[in-house]
Amino acid sequence: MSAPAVPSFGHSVVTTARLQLKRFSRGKKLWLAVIALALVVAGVVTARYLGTDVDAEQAGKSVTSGLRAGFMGLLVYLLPFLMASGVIAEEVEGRTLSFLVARPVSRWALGAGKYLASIALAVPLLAIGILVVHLACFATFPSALVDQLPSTLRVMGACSLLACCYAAFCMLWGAVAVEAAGIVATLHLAVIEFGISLVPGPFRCISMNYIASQLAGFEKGGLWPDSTPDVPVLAAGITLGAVTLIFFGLSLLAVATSEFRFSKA
Amino acid sequence: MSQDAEEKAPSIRAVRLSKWYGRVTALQDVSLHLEPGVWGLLGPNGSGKTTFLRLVAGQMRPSLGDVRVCGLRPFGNVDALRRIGLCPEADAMYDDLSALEFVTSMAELSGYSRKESRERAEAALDAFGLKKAMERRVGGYSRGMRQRAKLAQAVVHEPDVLLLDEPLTGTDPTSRAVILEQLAKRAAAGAVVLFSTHVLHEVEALTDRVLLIARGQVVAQGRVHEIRDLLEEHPHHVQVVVDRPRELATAVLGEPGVLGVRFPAAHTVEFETREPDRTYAAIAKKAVEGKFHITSLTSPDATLEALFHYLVERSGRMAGTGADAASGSATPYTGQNLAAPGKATAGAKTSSKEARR
Repeated sequence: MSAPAVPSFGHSVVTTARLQLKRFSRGKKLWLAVIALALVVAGVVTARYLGTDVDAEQAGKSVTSGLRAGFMGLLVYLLPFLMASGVIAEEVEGRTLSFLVARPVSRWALGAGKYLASIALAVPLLAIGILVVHLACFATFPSALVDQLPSTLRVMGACSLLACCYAAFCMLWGAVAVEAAGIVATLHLAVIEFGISLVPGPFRCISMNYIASQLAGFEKGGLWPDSTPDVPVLAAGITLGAVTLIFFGLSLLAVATSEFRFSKA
Repeated sequence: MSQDAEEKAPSIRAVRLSKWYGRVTALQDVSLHLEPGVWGLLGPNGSGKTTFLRLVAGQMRPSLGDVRVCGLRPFGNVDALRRIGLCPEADAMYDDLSALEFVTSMAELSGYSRKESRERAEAALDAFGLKKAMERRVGGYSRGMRQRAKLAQAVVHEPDVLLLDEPLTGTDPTSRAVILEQLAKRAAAGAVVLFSTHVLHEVEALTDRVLLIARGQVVAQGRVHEIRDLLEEHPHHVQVVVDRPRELATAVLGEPGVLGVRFPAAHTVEFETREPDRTYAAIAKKAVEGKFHITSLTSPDATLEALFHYLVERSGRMAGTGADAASGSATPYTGQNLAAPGKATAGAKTSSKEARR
């Protein structure tokens, strides 16, 4: 008998992430995500070209509202939800988690690898979608293609950070509420993230979606927008990063300490 | 052997191990020490076999007591886990992956490089007869092939302790032979192989060392022939559907071993016997002599499950009377009075039978 030495944390994270990515590539979720992305991109680009006699400024406004509605208002919820809410819960429900936790891999590494795989798909998909929208919408205005790039990249950065944050939320609920992971994660995103992002006053700052909107440079929307405080870019970035780290840490803690449904026959 | 070396040697040790789920006690006061070799963990469904294996595999924490694998607590302990191979009972796998991808990933998670993982995975799948099918997706496999793929991932890193939960479920005779051969090889190489089953003859094909578990307690530990003796001692019931049940009862009642008779239905007679083989022969003989018309002849309880109930009840009775301190789990094993591997600890009757031998 010659069992190998315990693998390093990095090796464990990368191997777990690779296995998860392989599973994503064979499953339906990736296709769902790609289809949703294609529909949103097509919708935004179509809306941009439906207007007649559009100048570069109007095109810019059209792109901004499209990114806000299609990406910040829809895809940034959907993609992390698709990728992250099931990474733990589905392994437990499908009883395949036994194979992973029986390996000499720390459970922290296991959780980190799965999170990494989730955002490794969600974030690039969002980024590619935003880039395609930018290229397609400003194709008729070569100067705007360059001029508007910084603001598009800013939206891309905000959406990416928010996707990481939502992936952490979804993974946490998947780890602590295995049997109702989808429902709890949906409720969280719908009520706290979407619902509260529209309420007036300082409560809106509870929603990371609002914080990310500020980071992206979007104008405030929702009810009585003037009653809502502005969030400086740096503060918005730090808040998003900190909340992501907290929820990511909590989800790892849940994975590391839980007996999951091994406690059931 | 030094104490340190002894602790690191392949072994499973449980001391007063208990696990409960809410108010349900799944495992109670189990103490044992298993050394290299093949061990059968026998018990009816719901007896605590899977719970015990999960505790040993580090998937759950004990509610009470302690479990050690190669001297290490397994829950969340990567040093212990690297020495454990687990084949879970559930027929659940990554159906979208091929067996080769699956086993390679498991080998990588055990610490091998990608190249070595693939080589090891190929070798393990080949050993379990899946060479030609290893590139196919597991979702298209038969139950037996899936079982073999699960076993391949359990042995791919050459563990010192191999835990197999019902490994022969759903396998055909060919698969079964391959699996048994591989397990025997692992044991010969110095591993502790512990496999659970509820079928006695599955154990006999591989080992004669068994643990009997029922209602969360180890009720007996010993060799298969001793279990067989217990089966013989256990009062059997032989049920006969016949045209003249009372006449048959009168004819058979005087035969050796027959303890009693009852009539559960109009044309049915049920004999209680300690010697089922002789009773069957006597019934056949009397049926021919008396020209009885027998519709069916069955034994409703000639199973391990019946034996477990018998042992549990008996150990409970003995604990109550203080008749036998070593009887089953009436007195849990401790570090001091652990039964030596292979030594029967099923109760007074087995001991007396050994004495008679």
